[in-house]
Amino acid sequence: MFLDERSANLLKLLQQTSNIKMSELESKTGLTRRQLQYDIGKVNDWLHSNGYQPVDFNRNIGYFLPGEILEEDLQVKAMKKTYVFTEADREKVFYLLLLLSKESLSLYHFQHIAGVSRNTALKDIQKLKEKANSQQLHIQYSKLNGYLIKGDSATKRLIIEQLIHEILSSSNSELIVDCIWGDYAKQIQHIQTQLEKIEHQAGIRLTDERLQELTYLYLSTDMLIEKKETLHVINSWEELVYTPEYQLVEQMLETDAFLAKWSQTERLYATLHLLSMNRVKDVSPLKEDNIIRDLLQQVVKEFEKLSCIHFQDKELLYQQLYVHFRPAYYRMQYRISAINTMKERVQRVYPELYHISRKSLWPVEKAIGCKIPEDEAAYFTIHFGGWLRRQGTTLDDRKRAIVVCPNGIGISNILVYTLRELFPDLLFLDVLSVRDAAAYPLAYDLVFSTVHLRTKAALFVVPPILEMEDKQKLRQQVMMELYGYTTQSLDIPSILKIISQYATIHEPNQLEKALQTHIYAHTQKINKHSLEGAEKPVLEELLTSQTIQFQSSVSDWKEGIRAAAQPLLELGTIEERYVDSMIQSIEENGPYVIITPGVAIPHSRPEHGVRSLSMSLLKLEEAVEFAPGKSVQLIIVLAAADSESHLRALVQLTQLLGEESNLQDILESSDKSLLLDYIQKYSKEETS
Amino acid sequence: MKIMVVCGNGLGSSFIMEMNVKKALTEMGKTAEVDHTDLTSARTVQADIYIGAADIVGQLDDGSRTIVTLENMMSIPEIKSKLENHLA
Repeated sequence: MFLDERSANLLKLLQQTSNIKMSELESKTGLTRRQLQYDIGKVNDWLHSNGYQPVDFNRNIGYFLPGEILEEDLQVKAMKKTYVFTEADREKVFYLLLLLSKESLSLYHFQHIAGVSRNTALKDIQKLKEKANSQQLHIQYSKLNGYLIKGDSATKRLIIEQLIHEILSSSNSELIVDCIWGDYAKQIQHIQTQLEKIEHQAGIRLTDERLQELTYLYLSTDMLIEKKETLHVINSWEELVYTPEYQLVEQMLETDAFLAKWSQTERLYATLHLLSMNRVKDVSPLKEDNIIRDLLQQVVKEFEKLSCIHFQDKELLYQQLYVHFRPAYYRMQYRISAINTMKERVQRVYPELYHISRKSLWPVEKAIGCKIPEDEAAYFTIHFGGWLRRQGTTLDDRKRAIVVCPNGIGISNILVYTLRELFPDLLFLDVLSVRDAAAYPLAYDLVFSTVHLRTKAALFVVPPILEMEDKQKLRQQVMMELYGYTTQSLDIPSILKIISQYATIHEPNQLEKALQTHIYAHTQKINKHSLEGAEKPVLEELLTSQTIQFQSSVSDWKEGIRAAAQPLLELGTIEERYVDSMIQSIEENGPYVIITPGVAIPHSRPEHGVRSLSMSLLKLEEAVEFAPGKSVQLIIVLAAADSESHLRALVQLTQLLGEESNLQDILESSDKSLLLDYIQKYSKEETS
Repeated sequence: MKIMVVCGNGLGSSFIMEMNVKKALTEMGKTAEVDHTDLTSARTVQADIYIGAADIVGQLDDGSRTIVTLENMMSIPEIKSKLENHLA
């Protein structure tokens, strides 16, 4: 009775979960409903032939196994006796065989070992050839030598490392291992004993998986050296000679667990992999490891700063992190990839913690001169998360904020630094541009922005540099938002009730209305906090040389609006759909946007695609008709983020265009600076 | 006396008109309450005079409202002359 890998996995899944719905099965296995139903049939056949009851189904709870399946049946019957290699398994087996085998390999070897037909074996090898090519290795065939694999020996090592890792962590590792290293059982035992000795001498304890991986890696290396497949000298490894691990590796290689003669480079290779394997215990004294201790302290300090959390028992934390960090450091320094199977889960379940951990690792990035791989960052997330849980602090209940600042990086940094100081209890996730803010993946409660934005979170508009009074005012506003009353707490009927207990209400309807307007006006104000310095930008802040364009002509008014809006699309302050909405508005309501002959101010509602308050201007040499007899030479796109913040600039624009001579001057001149001079002049005008 | 300035979105041109209507009123020596809104809300708001671009306020004209249409919403003289008839 066969049970293929897919069905065996399904059986395991059903065994692990007490009950599971079809939709969950689909998302967990990545298979379709059809495939799953087919597999369930196979599992049932297997269950039946092994004397178990079939998979049961209940509409409310989903699929489940009525009885417990003995572990040994699962292991032996599902995996070993009845197992057939899947295509993916065959690829790994064939690949490793080619890389490691001392003897020449014929097609028959492959057929025999995998128990497949000649055709299947040929097809598999053809596919493997393509895969190998993509990894800069080449599989060749000759009658005399059979199948051989050619290529750089360092590349081969890298692929062997990956294959060993994949095979050992796959569900049917035993069988594959048996296929490839079946004849080496004794040597494997020997090497493992030696490694356990090293663990003892170095005062470390590797994780079980890593110990196993290292055993097979050393065995494979020994096999490679024997067939003269050796590494070239790699200079950057030489400093590892001074590590205590190198001495231990040398001692180990002296024993009869190894058959080949290892060169210094090979010894260093072994040392590096010993250093970079994850361990569960490491008693080597941290104090002597200055580089790593310094880096660790910097990372922890950075994490504390970014998260505004203070770690307790820091010495203990350093000790614990060191166990993880030392191998991670060697991995990153020497670019050894580590696959963290929990990466995606960590990123999904703890997005903020992951984000902050990754950011705290910049001192390490600086030291090793490359970006930290996501897998490694996820490991740190787990460590920091565990420590936070230990001291009873979580990031979850803190209010999260982002800072939006389209200004230069210098200004943004000052702003963020000030805000962090001002609000130590907030979690500042990032500094973003307007465009990035619109696509930001993490959830946040507060936005501090130097521009008017459209956002569902509470928005605080601030000047890039905060003065003393600004800080006090902002602090009050934020506190009001976070801890002050909300609209829900002001329930009008209950207020009316209270009033009626102590006073006679003559006009209840009027009173209710008045209360409503009052509270509404009040909450409006709360939701739109802005500080005076940043409040309502003036015309010259919106119409700048970046958003002003001169053009000779456009084919029609729609193209005119599109051309005029282009700079705002490029700056990311509006979305494409805002442009369509402006055009649609004119199609529906006529050219009401022509405020005076020759000037149109197309605009739409903020919710139709405005990211932040902005304006752009297009001057045409040749007027374009918006409607018969209504030609326009100046198109000024207005993108308002709310109903207020644009008014100051709009008033100034009206005043500028209100003087007929100004408009004439602007239309006649082809000089941008004349227009900018006018804009600057009217930006100083204040509304009465 | 309440004058409602109306435009398509209630954000841009209606506000510009509101300012100019106020300016015109001051020059005429008259007082009135002036506010601006978008076309949709204008249907439910009470006012003595509705003012705006022909395309827009034309849609409000159901025979019962006093409508003033503007050709050039920046022209104070035009606003003055058109309002004059309606202001006692």
